[in-house]
Amino acid sequence: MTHFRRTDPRLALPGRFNAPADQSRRDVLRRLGLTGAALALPSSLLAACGGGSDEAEAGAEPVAAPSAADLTGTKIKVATFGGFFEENYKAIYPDFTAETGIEVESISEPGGGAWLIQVQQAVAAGTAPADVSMFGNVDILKASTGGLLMGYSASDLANATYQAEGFVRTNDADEVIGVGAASWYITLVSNTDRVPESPTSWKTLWDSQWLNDMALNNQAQTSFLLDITANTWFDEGTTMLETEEGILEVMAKIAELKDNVKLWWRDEATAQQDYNSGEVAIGQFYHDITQYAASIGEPLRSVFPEEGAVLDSGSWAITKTTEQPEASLVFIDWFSQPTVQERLATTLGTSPTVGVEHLELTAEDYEMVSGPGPDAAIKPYYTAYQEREDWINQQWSEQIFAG
Amino acid sequence: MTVVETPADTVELTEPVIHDEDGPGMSWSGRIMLMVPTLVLAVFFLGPFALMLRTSFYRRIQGGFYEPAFVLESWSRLGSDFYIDRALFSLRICLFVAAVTVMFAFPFTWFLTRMKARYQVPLLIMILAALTLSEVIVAFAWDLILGRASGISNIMVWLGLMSEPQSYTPGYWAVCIGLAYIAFPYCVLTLYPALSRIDRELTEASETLGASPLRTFFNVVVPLSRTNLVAAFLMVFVFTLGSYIIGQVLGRPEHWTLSVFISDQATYNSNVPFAAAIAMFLTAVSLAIVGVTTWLGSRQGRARQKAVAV
Repeated sequence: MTHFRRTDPRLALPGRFNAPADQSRRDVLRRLGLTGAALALPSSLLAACGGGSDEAEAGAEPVAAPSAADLTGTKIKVATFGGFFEENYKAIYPDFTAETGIEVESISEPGGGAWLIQVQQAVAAGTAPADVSMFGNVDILKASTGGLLMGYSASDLANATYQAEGFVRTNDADEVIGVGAASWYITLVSNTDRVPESPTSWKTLWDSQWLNDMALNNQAQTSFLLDITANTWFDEGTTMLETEEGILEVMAKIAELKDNVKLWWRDEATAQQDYNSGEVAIGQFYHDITQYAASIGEPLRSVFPEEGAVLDSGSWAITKTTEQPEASLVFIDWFSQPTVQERLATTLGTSPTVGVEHLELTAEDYEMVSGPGPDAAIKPYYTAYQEREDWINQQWSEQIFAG
Repeated sequence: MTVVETPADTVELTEPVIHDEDGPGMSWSGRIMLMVPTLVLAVFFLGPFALMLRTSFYRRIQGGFYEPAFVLESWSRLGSDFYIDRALFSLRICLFVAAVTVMFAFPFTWFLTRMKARYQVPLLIMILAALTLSEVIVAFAWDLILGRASGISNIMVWLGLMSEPQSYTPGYWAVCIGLAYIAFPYCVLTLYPALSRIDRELTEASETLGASPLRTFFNVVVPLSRTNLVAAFLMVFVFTLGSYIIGQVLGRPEHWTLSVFISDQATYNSNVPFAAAIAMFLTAVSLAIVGVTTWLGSRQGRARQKAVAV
């Protein structure tokens, strides 16, 4: 297999982080912001601190772009998924600090909803375990419904305009609560020592040759096995998940593969270990970190199945109880730059959330991180996980986990 | 036979005297002293307990968290076949593990107390050292030992006893081994003080009268330690009932105990009310089992005392 190319990003993308045009634009915005009484304070913060909706609307005027220069020495805590993911982000933070003066403390966040509950408890207690967190799609919806996130105006972020459609998320009050950080694909991953030639279809998960030899994620809403199965075995595809009957039919199909599953993983680290060592031969996993692991010599490969890999994404969101709203906005804005997302694509292997027209990735690089691209991917039907959350969880337990 | 049994009954007769010392004649200073731990218990145990009970009645918001209310939805979900089945499985596996652990720990501790200090101390230190390992480390260590990639089956292959390495995890026995492993040191430490206090003259008397060491063990040592055996059994039972990582790592979904589901509901599904309801239920069940066992034990003890007195 082709090993993932790792380059020193500072060599690969020279001088683009200090684009003068961008800087001057920000200066102008800052001066505009300084003239306003809000001093770049995001509109929704006022609302979150107990102000009425009138204040929030007044503050939503597009004048409050965050100012980097005023924030030198400020420290923010940023949570990203632990492991390779966090390591790669950590490597970029010094450049962010050099440019903005804002220091970043990196926090390793557990995946699959576990971080969400910590943030929820902290917000209830009036603290913020992190100022900025990366949330998956299901989690950011929950966090928004639970009122955990700070809302702000899209104009607070100069670089938000680069985001592809759907990556600037708003709440019911039309405030921005999340901005695309990275997309990732869930693919068919196998250990090259155990599996000489990888199958190319998700159907292989049902093949008895993998008896007690497979790894799958144990949560319905993070494994997206419902979406995978619906698109693999049913002509109706994702529409199967619109009704309870359809979901039950899909679950019954998933129940057929459970003897193959040796590891129902909850956290990525456990799965990573078992894939690396060959304790499991094949299963579902993340394309980005598999490519990264392969690039440092682990016997792994990631294959985009013919039915499509699952395309999911993470968004940056600011905890409502943060004491550093301005620095947090600067952080999100900085990471929305196409150059930074390109850099993450070439180091971590995540797929950019900024529009493809703003990217200068080579076709080869783009294919490396996105395979056949988002059009060929399975897009999860998030509505089901949002609206029928506990019902799906109960049925999942009964159909998949019962003895 | 009857001769050997006598010492056990004699010793039991003296037991109630110890219990009655803190009775009605207790001094005021003694009562005040007792109030401190009672207060600590109330604040740090009953307080959170009450909060959790309250949370179990909160209303769940789909796609969000929960809100204060008084609804029974979490409790009624607990009544579904799946969770009843999980509860029964949890009780079965924990009772089994408790029985097996006590079965191994009891003779081990007995021999430990009879050893010379020179051997006894290092062994005790080893047992204590095992307590420093967290459940997470124990679970993943057994996962490696029983696994295919680097587990014991590789030694069998190397010895030519097997053709290719096999995985013994996840599975029912892997969970039992993991649970017994973490419970064993606690069990030994619970039994150790009582067994080390057993008068050597009693076992010597039994042996002088012609009983074999095995017969002495079963007819003198075991009856003398009945109360402690029950205490150790209950301790392991409650302890393993609360374990959730061993089951997660070493078990298939059908081997996950209720504790695993509490952790999953609270951590991954942000359904704290349901997690609280399962936790309340589990606490109630374990308290009931402990209560019934203790009551049966004390009733039987009193009956025996009466019989001896007559």
